[in-house]
Amino acid sequence: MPRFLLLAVLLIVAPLTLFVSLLYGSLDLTAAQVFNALLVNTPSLEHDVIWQLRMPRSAGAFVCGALLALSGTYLQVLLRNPLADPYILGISGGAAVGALAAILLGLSWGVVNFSALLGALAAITVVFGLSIRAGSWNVHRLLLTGVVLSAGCSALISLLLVLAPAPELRGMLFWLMGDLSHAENILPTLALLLLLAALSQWQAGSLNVLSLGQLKAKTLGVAVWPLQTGIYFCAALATVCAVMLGGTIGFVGLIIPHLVRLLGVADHRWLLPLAILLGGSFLTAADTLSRTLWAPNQLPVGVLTALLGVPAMLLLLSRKR
Amino acid sequence: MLSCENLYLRYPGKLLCRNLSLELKPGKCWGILGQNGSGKTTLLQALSGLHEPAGGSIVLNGRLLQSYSRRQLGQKLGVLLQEEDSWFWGSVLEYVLLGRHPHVASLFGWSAKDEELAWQALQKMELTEFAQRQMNSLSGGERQRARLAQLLAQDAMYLLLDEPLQHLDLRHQLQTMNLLRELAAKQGKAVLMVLHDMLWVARYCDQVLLLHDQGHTVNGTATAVLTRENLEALYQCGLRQYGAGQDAHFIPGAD
Repeated sequence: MPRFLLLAVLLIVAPLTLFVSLLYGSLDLTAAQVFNALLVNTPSLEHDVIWQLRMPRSAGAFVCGALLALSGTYLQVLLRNPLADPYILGISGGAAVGALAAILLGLSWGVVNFSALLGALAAITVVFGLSIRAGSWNVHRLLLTGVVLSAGCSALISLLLVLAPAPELRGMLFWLMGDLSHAENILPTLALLLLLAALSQWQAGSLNVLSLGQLKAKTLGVAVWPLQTGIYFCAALATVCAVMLGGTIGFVGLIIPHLVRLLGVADHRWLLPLAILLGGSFLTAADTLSRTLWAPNQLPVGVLTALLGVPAMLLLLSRKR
Repeated sequence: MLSCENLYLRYPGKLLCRNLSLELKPGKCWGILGQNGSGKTTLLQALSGLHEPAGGSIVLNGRLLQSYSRRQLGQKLGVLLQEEDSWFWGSVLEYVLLGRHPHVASLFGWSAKDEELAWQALQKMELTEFAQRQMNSLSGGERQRARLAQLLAQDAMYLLLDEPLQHLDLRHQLQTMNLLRELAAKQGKAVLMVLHDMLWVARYCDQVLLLHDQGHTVNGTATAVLTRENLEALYQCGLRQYGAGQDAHFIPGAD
């Protein structure tokens, strides 16, 4: 598919998905009511439902999906490994250990988030500290360090789950599988997404060159060390913010960059914005389904992302020569 | 001018180059010959700013090489690496266009000049009809021509090439050497090549550097350096010489 067309389609699909997500919930609203609530600032039940309940969650889902897709794309270039996803370097593992420990201790949601942040920062520091040697990145060492740290965090997560009493266990499992119901003030995260999107567009040409290898990129005028360090921290930041918004939602960061590539776009100047739009739309759609399919109960959104993503990916793979 | 003075190069546990001084002047072609592991690639990488010398200095146009930014170096030095990862995500044209990266001013795409230079490079390497093919679908020789095309599109004043003729058939070897010679003669570019075939060196290079074991080097004009004695000492095997000067060629096996 030509990339202009793909961009145009996604520029329509993204707001449409957000709009549809605002239609569904425990209170049935018509499209006209949603439009009215969005455009007119008069106090009403619909206005409150849209702006205080549904919009934070839907926009949170969009931003979270976009950040995961962006982080996945970054890490696939940095590690030069198609299997890389936002969680491969143990950042989400560190966040999960922090969050679950706080849930286990019965602390408030704000403290849980802060604890997740501390866990993620600890993981980022450990991986960065152990991967750098003499001012250069060793990508294999980075990958191994991340994978080992992830494994360690998985063991700690299992331990915390075993120790958890039954009432806390459900909340902990939802956090692990992804849960967007706590998405509230998303403006700072949205601002970060826009900043990262601008940064990535600025460096997209250099990412294209970096995909040829470090030495080659240097010969073509890329300052490799600052670029790789920048990618690492941008990916880490995107992952931390996504995890704080929605827990560890799997599959989006891995599959979205590949879906865009399978649609015929691999040039990072196009791949990055397309992945942001597709990732956001995809997670918004998955979240809408997760809260409507089995209403009034909710399905973990991570289950939906896999259930939707696997067939889409397999279909595209089978059609690709 | 790209030059080095009293250069020492070290690879873990091995001295590769001792007290080497040379000057790569515009319009001239240099050939480097040496045994496997003698430091040819390391020297080329040091001159490109990719390998830290153990001693001495490298100067480009009157300034130390390390005082340039990567981007500035990318504009002035075109480097053909000996090896490159084989996977690439896009078409041959997209690959060749990446050679323009050090010159790119826009965030959103290539300028008309970038595109023009890329197409000219493809034409020179007889790859025009391959432009839209996926890079990964090319044969080894075609891929080498695409790498050379990317280097041509980079349009640098100094060309440092590590085994530019690898994987090429005879006609394309000849074409490439003629092209490099022409770039030196007509556009004043300075060319430095690591080669294994003494015939090409004798015919196309003005200056030759022989890299011996233990960092010992011999350099000078091609006619002076390419003698049977020098080359036998370099490769440690007997050689027979036919012809002389630019037509000199050497065949293994003692008289």
